[in-house]
Amino acid sequence: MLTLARTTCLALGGLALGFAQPGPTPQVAELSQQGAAATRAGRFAEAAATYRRLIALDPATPHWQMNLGLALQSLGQYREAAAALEQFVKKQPQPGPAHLLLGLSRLKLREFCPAVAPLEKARQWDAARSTLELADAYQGCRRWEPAARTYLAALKFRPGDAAIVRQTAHCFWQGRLYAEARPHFETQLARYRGDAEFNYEFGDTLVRLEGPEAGLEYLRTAVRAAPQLLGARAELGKALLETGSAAEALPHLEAAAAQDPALLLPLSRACRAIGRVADAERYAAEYRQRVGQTKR
Amino acid sequence: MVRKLAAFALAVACAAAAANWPVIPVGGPLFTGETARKYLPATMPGGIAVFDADGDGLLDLFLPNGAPLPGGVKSGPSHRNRFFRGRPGLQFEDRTAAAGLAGSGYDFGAAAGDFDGDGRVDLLVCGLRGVTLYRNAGGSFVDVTATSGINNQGRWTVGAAWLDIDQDGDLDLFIVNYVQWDPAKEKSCVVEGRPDFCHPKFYAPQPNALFRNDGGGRFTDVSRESGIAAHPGKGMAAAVADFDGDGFSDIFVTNDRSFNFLFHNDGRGHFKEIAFEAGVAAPASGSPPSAMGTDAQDFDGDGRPDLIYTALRDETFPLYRNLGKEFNEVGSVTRLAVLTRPMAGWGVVFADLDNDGWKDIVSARGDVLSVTGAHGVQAKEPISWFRNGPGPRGREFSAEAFLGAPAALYRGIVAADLDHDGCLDLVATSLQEPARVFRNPCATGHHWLKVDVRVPGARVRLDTQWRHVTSAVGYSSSYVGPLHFGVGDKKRVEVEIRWPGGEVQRLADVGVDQTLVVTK
Repeated sequence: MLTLARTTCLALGGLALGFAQPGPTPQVAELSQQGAAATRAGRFAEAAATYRRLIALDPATPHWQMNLGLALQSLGQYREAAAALEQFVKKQPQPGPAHLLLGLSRLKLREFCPAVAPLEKARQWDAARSTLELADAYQGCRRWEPAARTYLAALKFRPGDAAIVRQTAHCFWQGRLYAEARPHFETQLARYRGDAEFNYEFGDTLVRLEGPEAGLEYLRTAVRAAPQLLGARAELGKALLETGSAAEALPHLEAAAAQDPALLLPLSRACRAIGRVADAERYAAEYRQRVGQTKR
Repeated sequence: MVRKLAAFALAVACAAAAANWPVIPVGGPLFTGETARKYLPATMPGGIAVFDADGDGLLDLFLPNGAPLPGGVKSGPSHRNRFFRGRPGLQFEDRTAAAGLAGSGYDFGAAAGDFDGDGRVDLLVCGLRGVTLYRNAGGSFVDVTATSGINNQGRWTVGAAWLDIDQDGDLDLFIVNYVQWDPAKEKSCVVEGRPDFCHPKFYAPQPNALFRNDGGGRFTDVSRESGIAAHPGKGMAAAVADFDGDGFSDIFVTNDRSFNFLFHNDGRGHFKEIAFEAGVAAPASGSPPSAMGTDAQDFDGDGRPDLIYTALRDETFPLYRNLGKEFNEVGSVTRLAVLTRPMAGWGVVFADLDNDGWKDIVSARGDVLSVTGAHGVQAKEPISWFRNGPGPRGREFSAEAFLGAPAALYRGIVAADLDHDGCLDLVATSLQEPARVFRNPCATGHHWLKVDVRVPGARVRLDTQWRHVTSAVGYSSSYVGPLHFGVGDKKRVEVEIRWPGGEVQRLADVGVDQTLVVTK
């Protein structure tokens, strides 16, 4: 996630407040001025209270909901902000800043899938402000391919941003689009040389694109850097087994099989390859029982 | 008895191996019944049966077809199953009505075989609510399901295989049953934010079925006593071969996201499920994939039938070398794993498309997901031809897509020499499109020999190549016709036929570029 830390300042920095429509009562006009002044001065609690009064006085004007949402978001009250902004976008569905604010609130709440729709609309309104946020929403929602392609699009606004390139590679890898992931990993090799996750993902990518030998170096680096990274140990174990290094594969497969019972099968093969026949049969039986139960 | 049928001129040598393959659409678009509701059957059609129904020497095509869902009952001409009579020059004449093969329910697959031994190839059609057995009466087919004793109890059947389980000389029937499907209980599934077909985990498995041919057009359900019914699965396809060389046909069954089955035939009417012991229950990675179509033939020339099956993206198409009593997965050393990693496959067939004497692998590809779903139009994929060639560690495969094969949601595929030029053409189905014939340009200049033995289970050796007779091919598909061998530059070859029961017949110094019809 690249955007969560900066949502509020982004919202405050660039979005115009809604104002009273023509012909308000004097009280509404006065409260509108007070709310705007409080918001500009950073007195968000006062602004929120003001806009709540305005909503009660003038429920037909949807902009009070948006302004309330902005104030609440600035206070860190994302749930309430999202509720107010939902009210606004229901009445004003055309793409605009409220969609961005709503999407940002959802991101802050880590409600990634519900963030997608408002951010897709926000991107129609202002791609420069919304593309990275939308990519984050896709990623959090585990929609890997659109996430990767949206991060790629975000590079247009932040050329060369290494973190975005890393996320692009990561999402293509998660989406199993290894050929598309590979060039983005390769541009970041120097920067992430000792990073366990990076080496795991790149090594795994090479195994899948070129075969087990190709990824061994990176998978070994990943496991050296983070022995607790069981995904890397699983892939390293399988690659070692495929390349005939059953003894070296064994501890990695044993460690990773605790988390993923499917690995009991290659673990059984590794044991058999080095003559631990009883262990091989025990693991095979356990595999059959545990994976059979989960897959049927 | 050996009879020379015909010899045909070869195409000019030295043309590019990957020349364009002319594409010939056959009939109108096939119907899937897909709606926004994404009923699972809509992504599952369908296969092809290629056989000579009328004995005129030209191969005919049968194409199962869908129906509106959820009812699964055909209600219009676009839902009819299709039967096309082969005509000279790769023409196909729609003879569905005259043949009596239009069908009535939602159908997926077909298995061709002469179950009554009258010399005419009969047809079993596999459907959403069971199977239909058609006896070939000459000019037309007669539905004999009710009198045959074949009752699949309304189960969803995607494929079947005719085989002689007991070597009594007639064809028994193995039926591949998929999952239990009740439209009233169908979930609404969302994949990556879009409505799409549900994962197989949401459906209960069901057992396959086996029917013994008692003669006189009657069958007995031996699913239970044979041991077949004891293994519920989510069957997608079957490959039949004598894997362990004991003289009896065994059955490999792919299961969708669950362990595959290998039913070993003991020759006494019982099958033991030995997929784990043989090493084919799941790939070496340990994760049971979405196993789809399968084929069994000897790709490495050691005389033992090997195995391949297709799966979805990032699962690879597992390829197994038969070691006699067990199998060794060779996706890595043959490069097939790397080549197929980004692919989703359905139908698959071992076929020597360039007549170089080595069986290649051809796969009909396409995602299981809808084009309106998670992967969009990228769900469509081309047909892939993996060429079998020498590598540093034995046989290896290299890939090249057909230049003439558009991306589609391909499903069934059969390789057959439809135009009698000595090169294998392809017939493929794809969802909501007409079936396509891909005409092999036959441009390598290599020689060939076809051996027509028509006895399921018979094995034919041509020098160091082997093929065995089986009607089940790939996904939901079937082929009954001569066995095809490419022979490269050879002009004379030795042919050996090993008949079921053990009798061996050898033919020395056989000229190439002809079709031999051999009877026991």
